[in-house]
Amino acid sequence: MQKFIHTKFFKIIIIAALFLLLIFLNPSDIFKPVRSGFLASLKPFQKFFYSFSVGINNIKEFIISIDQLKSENEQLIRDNQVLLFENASISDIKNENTTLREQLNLIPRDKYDLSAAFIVSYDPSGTGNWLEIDKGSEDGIFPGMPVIVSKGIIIGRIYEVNRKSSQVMLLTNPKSTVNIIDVESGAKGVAKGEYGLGIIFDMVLQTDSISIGDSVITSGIGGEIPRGLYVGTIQEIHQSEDHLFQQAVLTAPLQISNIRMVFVIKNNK
Amino acid sequence: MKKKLIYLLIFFIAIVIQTSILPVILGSNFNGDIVLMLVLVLSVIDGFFAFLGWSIILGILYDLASYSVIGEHALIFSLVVYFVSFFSRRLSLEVKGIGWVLLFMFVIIATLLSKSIIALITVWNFQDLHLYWKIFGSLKHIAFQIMSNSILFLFLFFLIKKIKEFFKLEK
Repeated sequence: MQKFIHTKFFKIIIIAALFLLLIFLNPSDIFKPVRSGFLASLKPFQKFFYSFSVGINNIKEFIISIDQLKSENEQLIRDNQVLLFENASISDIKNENTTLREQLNLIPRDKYDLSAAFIVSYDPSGTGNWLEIDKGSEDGIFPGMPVIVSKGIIIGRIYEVNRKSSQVMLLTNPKSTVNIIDVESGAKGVAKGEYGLGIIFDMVLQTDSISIGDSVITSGIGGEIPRGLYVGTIQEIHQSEDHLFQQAVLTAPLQISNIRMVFVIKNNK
Repeated sequence: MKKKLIYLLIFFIAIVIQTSILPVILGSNFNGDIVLMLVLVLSVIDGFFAFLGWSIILGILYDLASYSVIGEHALIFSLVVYFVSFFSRRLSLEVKGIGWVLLFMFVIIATLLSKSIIALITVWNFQDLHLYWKIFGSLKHIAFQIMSNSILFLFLFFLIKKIKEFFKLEK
């Protein structure tokens, strides 16, 4: 028995049992001050390297795009010739587009009390569930506040707040639910995060009409998130598993890894 | 004391790279895990008893920085250290000359072990078994991750050896 206690196997069993218990109990409040302190010490470095990485990423994407330019240009010339024949119908679409842009292009600075924040880190698991910003409780940030990018595009909500930093739960997080509305048809539903699929427009009534390409914005129902923040475009429509509702996959208008700064909506002005 | 400071500095840098550089530059498909590979490299170089405590410290620091449940990565890392010790003792003589194959096997198993434990804990949190394979990822995703991890492992293996030589850190 004495011999067994000193084995590696025994040690690892004890350690694993202790950590499993810790995971099961999940005393996150106890660790909150420690996490807050540790994140504060990491923040300056994370902030610098995150911005640096976004810069590198943009250069990388630019270089890749040069390679594609020639073939894309040839394709565009062909497309342009086809489009000339469709010119008549474009004016109608243009009018519709202008109206839509007026509805969506909400530069909300004059409408909301915004707090600008830099992104300092991003979910390392690769599932795109969260990011971290450099503003926290000291800057008046509270859980539930919506987080947008400059043109009124919502990317998520504040989830956990530390003293000098906050965790933003992205719309792609399975825990995230936001009330949304189809701009074209007025169909209401809920934007839910989905592993591997991004954002799902869920709980859409069978009687409502939604189409591929429709734009989706926040509905303002519930009051936590203001109406009119752009969520994405419908990419694919299917039935829910129980066939009670329609579901749609939404494409987000931006790649989070290309942005450095976000805005937290603190209040309506 | 020198060793402690250098190890803590290495851990700090690895966590910053993992949370602020790799997810942006590599994207979701090629998402390597430099912290996990650091644990693997140091457990191969230092051995079970010398590195087990460090792996727990690194695991808890990583849990704090990545908003994970406290204990998640500490559990994974301590299991990885045990696993390396278990297999290197049994296989090192038999596979002399093809040691790199063994190390590559370590990378594969550490990656799969880490993914499966993270998926299990997430499933537990959401109370939804259907999520398991979605979180675990597709075969293509796993293959890319193993590839990224292998590159990170090789890079770290030589880097850590050089650091140990430069600072004259004992084995």
